[in-house]
Amino acid sequence: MVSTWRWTGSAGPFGEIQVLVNDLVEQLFGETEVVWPAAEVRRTETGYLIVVAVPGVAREDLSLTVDGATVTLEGLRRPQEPPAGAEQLTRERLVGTFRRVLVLPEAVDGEQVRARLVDGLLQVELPRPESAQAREIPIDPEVSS
Amino acid sequence: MMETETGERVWRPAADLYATPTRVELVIELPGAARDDVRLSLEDDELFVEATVAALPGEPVGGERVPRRFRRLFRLPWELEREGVRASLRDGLLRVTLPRRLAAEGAARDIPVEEG
Repeated sequence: MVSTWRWTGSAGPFGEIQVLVNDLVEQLFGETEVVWPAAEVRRTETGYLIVVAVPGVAREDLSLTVDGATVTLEGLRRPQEPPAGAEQLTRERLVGTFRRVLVLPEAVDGEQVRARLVDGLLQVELPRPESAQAREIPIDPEVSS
Repeated sequence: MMETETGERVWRPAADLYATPTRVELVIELPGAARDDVRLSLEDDELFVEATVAALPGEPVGGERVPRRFRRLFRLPWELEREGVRASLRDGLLRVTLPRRLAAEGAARDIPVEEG
């Protein structure tokens, strides 16, 4: 499963956090990539369900594409407007663009995919193609020779 | 990340904290939480937040685990007006606003200088 977290190229006003988070991740894992957002792939009776935690991300800032078994989610976490005259004391919430690529165990029919965003959780339902769904196989009567 | 008695993972939600001269504002990430899933309490200078999100259908087969349980204690070292605390939940973000107790208007205070 491929997963990438990409920061915006320019340092901008968030360069500081980028350094901070990368330092932390390097200390913990010896690498500079953060997996965000957390995405879970679940197998259901009818196919697959992908659940992605994207708190505070607007629907129009998300794009989802399905190509065979590959599901790509791209998006933007906008920095929050601080209250007027506020001093920000902790900054843990990440901002910037992100991209996640998830590979399902099998191809799905892109036409049948449904996605909804509820309470900061993106839920993508990907039905297994009809031909791949479980069906009862009749057993041929034994033919005596 | 912690574990409960039953071995279930509990996550420490990410949060941003702001302070103005009149109030303190916290933005806490609780993806998937509906209003009834969240418990919030303020005791002395400690704000406690806990949330349990509804289970999802099916079995996990890939990716990471998306958090289902959240718990965090925030220490807020300010004088707060407890009555005026407000909380709202939208798009998986819990926003808590706590008004600060203001000193009486123009209450300049003389600081005694001790000998020593």
